[in-house]
Amino acid sequence: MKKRLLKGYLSIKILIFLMAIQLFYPSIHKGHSHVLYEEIPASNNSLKGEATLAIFRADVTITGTVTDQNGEPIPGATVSLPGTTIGTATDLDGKYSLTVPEASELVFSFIGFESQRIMIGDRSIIDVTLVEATSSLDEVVVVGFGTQKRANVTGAVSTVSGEDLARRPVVNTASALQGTTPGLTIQNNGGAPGNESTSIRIRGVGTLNNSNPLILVDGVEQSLSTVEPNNIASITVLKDAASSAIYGSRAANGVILVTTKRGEEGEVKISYNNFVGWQNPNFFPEPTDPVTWMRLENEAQANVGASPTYSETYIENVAAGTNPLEYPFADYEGGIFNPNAFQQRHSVSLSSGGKSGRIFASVNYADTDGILQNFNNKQVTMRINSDMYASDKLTIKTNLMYRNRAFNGPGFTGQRITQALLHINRNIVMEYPDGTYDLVSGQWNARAMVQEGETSRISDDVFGQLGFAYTINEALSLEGNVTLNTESTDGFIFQNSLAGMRNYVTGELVNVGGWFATSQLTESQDNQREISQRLYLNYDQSFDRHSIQTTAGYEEIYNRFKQITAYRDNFFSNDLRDINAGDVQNQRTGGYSQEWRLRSFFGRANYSFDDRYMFQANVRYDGSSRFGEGKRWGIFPSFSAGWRISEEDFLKDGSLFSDLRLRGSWGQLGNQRIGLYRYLNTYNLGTGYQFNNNLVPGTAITSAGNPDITWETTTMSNIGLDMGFMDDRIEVIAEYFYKYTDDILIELPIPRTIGYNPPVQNAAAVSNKGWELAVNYHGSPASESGFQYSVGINFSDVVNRIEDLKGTGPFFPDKFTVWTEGESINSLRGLKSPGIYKTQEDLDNYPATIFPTVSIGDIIYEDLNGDGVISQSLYPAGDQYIMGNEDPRYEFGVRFNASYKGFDFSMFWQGVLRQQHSLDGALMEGPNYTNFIPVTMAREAYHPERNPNGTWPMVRSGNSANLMESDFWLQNTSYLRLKNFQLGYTIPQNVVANLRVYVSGENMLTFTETELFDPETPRGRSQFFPHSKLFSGGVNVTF
Amino acid sequence: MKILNNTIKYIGLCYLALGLYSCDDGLDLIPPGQVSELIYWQQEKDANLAVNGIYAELDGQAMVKELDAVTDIGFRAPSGPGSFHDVCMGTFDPVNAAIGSQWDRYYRGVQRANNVLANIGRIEQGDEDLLARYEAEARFLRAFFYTQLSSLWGDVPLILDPLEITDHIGRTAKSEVVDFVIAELDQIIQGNQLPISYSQEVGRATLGAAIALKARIAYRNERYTVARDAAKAVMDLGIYELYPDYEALFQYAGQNSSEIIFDRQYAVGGDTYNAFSYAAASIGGGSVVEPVHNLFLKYGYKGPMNPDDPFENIDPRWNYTTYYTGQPIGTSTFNSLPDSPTADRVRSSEFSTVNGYNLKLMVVILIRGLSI
Repeated sequence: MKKRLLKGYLSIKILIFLMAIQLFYPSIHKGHSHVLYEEIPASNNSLKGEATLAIFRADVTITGTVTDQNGEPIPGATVSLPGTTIGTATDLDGKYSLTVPEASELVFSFIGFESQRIMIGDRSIIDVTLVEATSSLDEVVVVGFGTQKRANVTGAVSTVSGEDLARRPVVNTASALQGTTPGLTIQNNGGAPGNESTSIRIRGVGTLNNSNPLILVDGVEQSLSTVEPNNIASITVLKDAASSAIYGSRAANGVILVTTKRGEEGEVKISYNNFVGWQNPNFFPEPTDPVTWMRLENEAQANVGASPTYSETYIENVAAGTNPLEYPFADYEGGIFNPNAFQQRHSVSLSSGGKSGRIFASVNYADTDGILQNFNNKQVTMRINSDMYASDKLTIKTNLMYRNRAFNGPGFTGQRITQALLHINRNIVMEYPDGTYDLVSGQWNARAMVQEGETSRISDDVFGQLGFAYTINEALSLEGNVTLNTESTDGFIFQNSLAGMRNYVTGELVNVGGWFATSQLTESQDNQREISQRLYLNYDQSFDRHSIQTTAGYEEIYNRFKQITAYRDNFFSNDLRDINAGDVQNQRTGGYSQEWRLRSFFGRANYSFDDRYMFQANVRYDGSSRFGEGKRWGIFPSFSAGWRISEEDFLKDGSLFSDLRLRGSWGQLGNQRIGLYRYLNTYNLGTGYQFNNNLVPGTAITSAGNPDITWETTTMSNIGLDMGFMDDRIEVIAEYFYKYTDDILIELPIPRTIGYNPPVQNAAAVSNKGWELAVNYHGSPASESGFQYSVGINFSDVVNRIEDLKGTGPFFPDKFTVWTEGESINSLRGLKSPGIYKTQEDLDNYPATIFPTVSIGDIIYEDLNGDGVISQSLYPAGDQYIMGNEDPRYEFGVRFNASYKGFDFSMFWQGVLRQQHSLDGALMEGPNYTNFIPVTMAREAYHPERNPNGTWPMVRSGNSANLMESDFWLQNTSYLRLKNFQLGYTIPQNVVANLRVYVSGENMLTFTETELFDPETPRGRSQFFPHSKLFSGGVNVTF
Repeated sequence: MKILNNTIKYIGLCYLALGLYSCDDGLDLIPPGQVSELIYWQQEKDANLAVNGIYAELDGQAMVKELDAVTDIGFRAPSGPGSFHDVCMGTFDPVNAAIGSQWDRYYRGVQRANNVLANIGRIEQGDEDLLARYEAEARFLRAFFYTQLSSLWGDVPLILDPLEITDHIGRTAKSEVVDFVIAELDQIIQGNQLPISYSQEVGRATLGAAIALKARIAYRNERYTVARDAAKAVMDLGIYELYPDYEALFQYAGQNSSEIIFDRQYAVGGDTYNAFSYAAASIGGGSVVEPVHNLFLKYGYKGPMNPDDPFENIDPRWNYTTYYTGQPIGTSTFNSLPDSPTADRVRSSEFSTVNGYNLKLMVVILIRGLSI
């Protein structure tokens, strides 16, 4: 035991030691004479002399000339004093004159050139050379195993800068990407802090199986949610086959490349960013007032001929609120929500670079309270990325990251607590003054559930990457790395026992059952360890107008996952929570492990002629342990070409276009994420039985294996058009794609008499076709007034269709969804309804009812197949039809940034023009099952006298006829949302290099038709950790 | 051009280095928690485990707890399409999942039995007598599955060998299925292939179970002479008798008692289930299955009937089976009246009873003492 402990500490110690070495490395080597990287560009201005701080701030007049790199004067360039209205423009000879306070800082700017900030010091003449701004076409884009100039990219690639990401004060990086890139769909499904559920899709859902994109952080698969946004240098989204084929059998759903920051050349730069914020529930359905609530419950009873639940005395007392122990009405919302839930994030980073190397180091801390009480998550991330110049040819690159995630909550999940809130009677005392509770059915009370027990999940993630880049000669270079990525999680769920609790008023034993009957603890240990290595050779050479770039390489990934669980119950007390304090009688253990390996060879060749014609080919050859011998290896090719029309003579001069480029690509990708060992016939050891009170093991073949199983293949074509106008101040990017996924693994039904679960077979096909459009406008740089702005709009659509199920189906993966040829994967099935029965005439017109008891006030279902009964299977066997689908159509994002003097403002709108959601569960059951009553229901429930214009069915206790899946409950969830706004101010001061303060809001405004749930709600019974909105403020400091 | 040559040279070198080991090395990963069929059927233990695997498919909770709910003595609460609720209401369709899963379960059992019978001969080392008994157990269990299948569906596919996933087998006439089951059981009975009882693994198939099963299928198929003779033979074994205490029969005391001929066994930590969801709302249940008044009407009176209290003097088995208003439940009193203050108030929630009664006893007994 002691030995093992020691080992654990040892590895942490080694880690800290390594980090310490990294941190000091550049200073250690300062004395050494590595003079190899002296060509690093010096400061851009042509200033001579040193700036010193003046003590007295009198006004001085500064004159000078502004020129471009060729020495030509720039007329009309702006010279201004930031944070003031002082400013002027240069004359025709590029000359200017301006009176400013001593020791000021001047900003020189002009369209198409990089702005420059210069301290005037004690000089009176300042000549400035402005450097032409690198347009976005010169921007370097990270692509698979390398980088490329944006102008040479021929595939469909979008990028998001780390700066844009870091500006959004969110804890989950995935949600910061929402709406930034056309074709990238991110849906925030809510979730407990640290466990937010976001679904990420690139260009639609491509398969019936796992359609998550491949997310690579520094080349290694990781979760996007946990990457520290402040550590991200850039994110590249590879959308088409040409750009992602180099990832072969993992790339069918698209690839997201996250690159972390590296040290920058120059002095040590330290920056500190923070924000503090307050979250509140967003779109949680509003409950109706207690009196209406109780009256509607009484009405539900009266409508089935039963006596009312609540007496008038009861209702009056609840309304008066004077005797809550005798006449209770639980305010669960008040009992479980945590209004103004606090959230904070701090981030310190250091960047430095010299002759011996470069380093980026950062420590981040985030602490988030849940909007349900007692939920909290803390995350600490430490990162060191370093580049050491071992010789003039060899650079050693190391990335080290340690992350600790600590989630804490009560003994129940947010889903379970929300379920309790939505489903449990309110005529109970939520909590007595002595901390005891009333329990419905012995176990239900949302307040008790948010208070009792404990859940903790503590994860240690370690990422270590050791790599090198070796320059062989001017054209050839070799790069490679070995990476270890481990995640280990300690799970702990303790549920308190409330047995023995006595009623506060009567002193009698409270009836305790279910999960509160006995204390129980489940502990789990998950370990994931991935070791990967890659080695690739780059060749880059230009002859005359020909330019060639090639890459060839090898990659191997080995992944092993292991889980063990242990369980005991009946603990000595609720406070002793070590597993040893539990009863051995019912103890249980379990565990399993799995492993996979992927071995790959890949290559890429680019050829361009005269920067006008570009060609690219990629190939990847993948071998995967997931498949049987003979089916293991697959080849994934892609080809693409680009034509930069604006470089042709006929468009080159004086044309409307500053850039015009046509791109086209075709390629094939694979999806190997289809489970493990599915090619083997195996005896399952989990089919035990029991004799005479003893467990006995048993075995059986439960699923037939399929030795012929292989990956799903996606073939994708893409056409893109890039246009730039007015010196690229207006950029338009348009894409059209067609994606066809074949050999999708489905369990084709086999005769049910065979007695196995059907094996998976490569059989189905799904297509996605769509288009994307992005328009960006950059307003003119700081004019005299100092006002500058930019607008970006993106818009996209994708149509999904199941092309082939080999004549089988329809399949019903859950009670809403249907998979059938010719329809979307996300199709919804249900009965067709023209409304509710309000008159005898309606009853005569629609005589077929789902139950004989259906009458006035119930939902009408159409007897589609005309057989006289309403049955819930798909037409023509029954009366269900495909009533819609959940695909978001016409997604858009609108970004607006503006700055004026020291102020900056940005807002970001995001939305979907067409989307549907099928209502289910408590919100439509209401008083029929003593469930939650939303205001909508109280307003809309039909009653012949009280509310003859109501659009919802009559409330009837125990009614289930109105709960069937039908288009009656289909909700329009198209929306427009102010995802984020931010107002910042850069404070003029001389103490630090930069100081900015800001306030920001997330999800502050939403326009949507439904008032019952957040439009981004996942399907189902609305039982999930509620969505939130966030108001925050923060500081960015650079020293 | 020299550089290009260099490139080719380096690429060549890299591939050479990688080519030193076979491309498939390390891609043959065997599942660490499952056994490949290639190494199965070598030792006696393999047969034991595979036969235990057949027992696991004996009637499960849905069959035992919910089948009564589709008859006129019970009610199954609604829970989405495809449940026994639809059967109970008469609105089920051809793809009803609850019915389909019973079919699947029995044919899974048949497949496991067929797999044992087809492969047990491959075991070279082992106790011959034991292996013969395992074989008889597999045949008995297969006969049991066909008894249930033919009783519920009539004509069913009679499959006696493992199938390929592409095989399609038609249905066999019910009478032939019954003939087959009786012939199988006769062979087991006449060959004395199963023991009278077990000292350790109580719950395995016995000779008595085989004879009793024969009596049951014969009785269900109106072959009364066969049924009578078989039932008599069970009684003549002299080891079964009705358990004197009806209530205790369904509790720990009644486990493996003299009334039990063959049952689904229970053990903590085994394939058990939370029957609580079937119970009354006030003790944490959801009234998934509940008795209806028709069940009450089936019980006679043990004394004079009291017109003011219909529960007075009722056959005490009614009390052991159901909760009704006035009975103690947990630490309080069951009350399902429309003005009840408890969670058991009729139709008061998703979890409460719809008809006023709740279930009390639950046990899985497949073949109980027969008295003809």
